[in-house]
Amino acid sequence: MSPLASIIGFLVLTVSNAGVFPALAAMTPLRIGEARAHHPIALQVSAGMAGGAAISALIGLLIIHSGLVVVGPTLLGLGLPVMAASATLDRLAPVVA
Amino acid sequence: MSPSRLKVPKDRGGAEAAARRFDRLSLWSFAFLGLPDGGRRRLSGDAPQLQSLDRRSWAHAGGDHGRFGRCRAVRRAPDDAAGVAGVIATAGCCGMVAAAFDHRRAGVVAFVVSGAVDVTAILLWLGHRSRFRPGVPPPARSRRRGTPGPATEIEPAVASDPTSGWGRSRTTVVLALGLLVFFLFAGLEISASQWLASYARHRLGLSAVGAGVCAFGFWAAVTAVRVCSPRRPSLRHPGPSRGGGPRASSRAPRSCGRR
Repeated sequence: MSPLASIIGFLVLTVSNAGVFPALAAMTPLRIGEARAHHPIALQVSAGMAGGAAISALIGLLIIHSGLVVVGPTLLGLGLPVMAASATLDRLAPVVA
Repeated sequence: MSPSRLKVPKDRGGAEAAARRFDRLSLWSFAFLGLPDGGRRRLSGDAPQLQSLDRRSWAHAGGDHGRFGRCRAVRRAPDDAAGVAGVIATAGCCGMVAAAFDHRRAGVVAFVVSGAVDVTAILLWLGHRSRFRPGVPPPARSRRRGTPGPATEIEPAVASDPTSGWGRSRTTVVLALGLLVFFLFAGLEISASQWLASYARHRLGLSAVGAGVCAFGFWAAVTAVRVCSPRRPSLRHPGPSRGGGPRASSRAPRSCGRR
């Protein structure tokens, strides 16, 4: 894969992901109600930061063992459970528009 | 989240003034927190193996926890999570640029500036706390500017409780799934950003400058998208969704904020 294709891929990943995090935070009140959303949002962001630390470190360990080639497949592998969990969440707690 | 949206008429009394001050302080805190974040991001690029342990320390995670907790508390813009994230990301990009100019001095100046803005933020919050004592009931949440008239248009959805009728197990599962989604998604996003420089440098064979440009481009794209994201209240607009008058059309979402 050429460097340009990889860079474009990262750019697409960035642009497509950029709005997801704030949208998830903004939709929590619509899922569980405005009154009780404050603490869950704070906990969700904390979970996100913990995920950033843990998963980044995990990928680092994988890179030590297998090299930087694991970055792409690992990110793809992370996207699938995110999709599954988000779909389940939508079914259990639909956004009340 | 333009500053004009934070303007409050002077004749609304002390409560409004306190709320306005709180809004301003919150927004500037996001910028303060984002600025050194970007600087650290840039400076730790030289040692990516240490990056996650360095940047994502518990103290830093606590700051993130606080900043988005405060995001919900920005009284006049309670739904602008994307806007607040954009402020943080913009400040982070500024921090990255500033740190890039400080590369030869190993980031000493950047870290001094980072510490200075952190201390400034702490002092401002302490001053605010001493001036407006906790325990005083917060002012009632007012409507956004530009939405005159009775506050009935978006209030019903706010007042309703979507969890009514849920069992304890369902509530627990929903909350756990929410945490899981954030854990995995933020892990994906942060991992991509953190390992991008190493990947570009050592896997794609780009120069150090090219890798830096890639990292900057990543966060610049994040910033652009988040700043340009629409406001959320359009989601809760109960009125006609198609051709429902000027207010409905003017607040329709452009791209995200809906799924």
